[in-house]
Amino acid sequence: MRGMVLSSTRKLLPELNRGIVEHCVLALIRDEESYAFEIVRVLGARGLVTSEGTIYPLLGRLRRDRLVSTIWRESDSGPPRRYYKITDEGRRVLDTFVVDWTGFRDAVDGLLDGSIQEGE
Amino acid sequence: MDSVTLVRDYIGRLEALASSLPADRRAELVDEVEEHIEFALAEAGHADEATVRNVLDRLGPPSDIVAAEAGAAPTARMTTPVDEPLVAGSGAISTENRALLLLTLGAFVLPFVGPVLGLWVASGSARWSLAQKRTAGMIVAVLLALPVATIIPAIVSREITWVFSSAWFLIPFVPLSGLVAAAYLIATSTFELTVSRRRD
Repeated sequence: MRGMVLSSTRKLLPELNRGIVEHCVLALIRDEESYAFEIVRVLGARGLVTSEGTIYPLLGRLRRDRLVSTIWRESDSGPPRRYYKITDEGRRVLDTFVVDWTGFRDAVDGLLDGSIQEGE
Repeated sequence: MDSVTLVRDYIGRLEALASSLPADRRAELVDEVEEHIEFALAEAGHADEATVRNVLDRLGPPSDIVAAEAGAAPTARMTTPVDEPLVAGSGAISTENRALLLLTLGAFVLPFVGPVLGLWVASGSARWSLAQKRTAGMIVAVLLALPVATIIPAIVSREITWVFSSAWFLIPFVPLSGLVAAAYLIATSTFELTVSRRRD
């Protein structure tokens, strides 16, 4: 029984992550630009990415979809870094997500804690 | 296995698995991961075997990274058609649309020069792969080769009447070079979008 719960948890998390982490990245850089390594560390520290390397395909997608723009900046230590900045389009996508997510989260929370009853 | 070999082995596996990606995207992805490793080791302050293993473990298996690239979940933007409006969010015309304009309209307004400028702009596009850009370049080169070799020398030696009397059939190739290249770029982008949608 225990094994079953664990294996379904492992399957569920990547499924949940799909499409959500993208928006978390947008939220992370909403107010301040940041570079990939820092973005990865913040998401990793919060348990939002398990394989840190998968953030790079995701950032590439955000660039291609023009939800973020990038600029290379010299760094005090080491090579220049590519900084990510949210675009106007990225902001619009993020705003829509915030509305959708809040509704979704409240609905799931309501069902999980039993405050929404059948027929309500 | 020492630290350097560990990293080289990891990058080697990533490169091999990423061989299905467009060449320029593969190079970019590998660069980014290599840089990540450098940053992480610099942050740790040392690069002994245990530290390197830890950094690579956190990155995850190369297969995960390539899978994230290939079977990507579409972001909201990707559900809109690829031929986006000419005016993008910031009020600027996107690189792809500028290139297409130069390849099509430019081929008429600026004969010979328009398509070449179009290719130059297209080379800066992040959406088109290197292979697409090369093929578009080949199309322009092949279709423009004969007109360039005959019409331009004739114009230079002021024998324009000769062009119209004897080499008139070459004239349509001048705008056609840009039009065919533009059609190719549009067709392959749409095709790729359809394929990637089906995969999801």
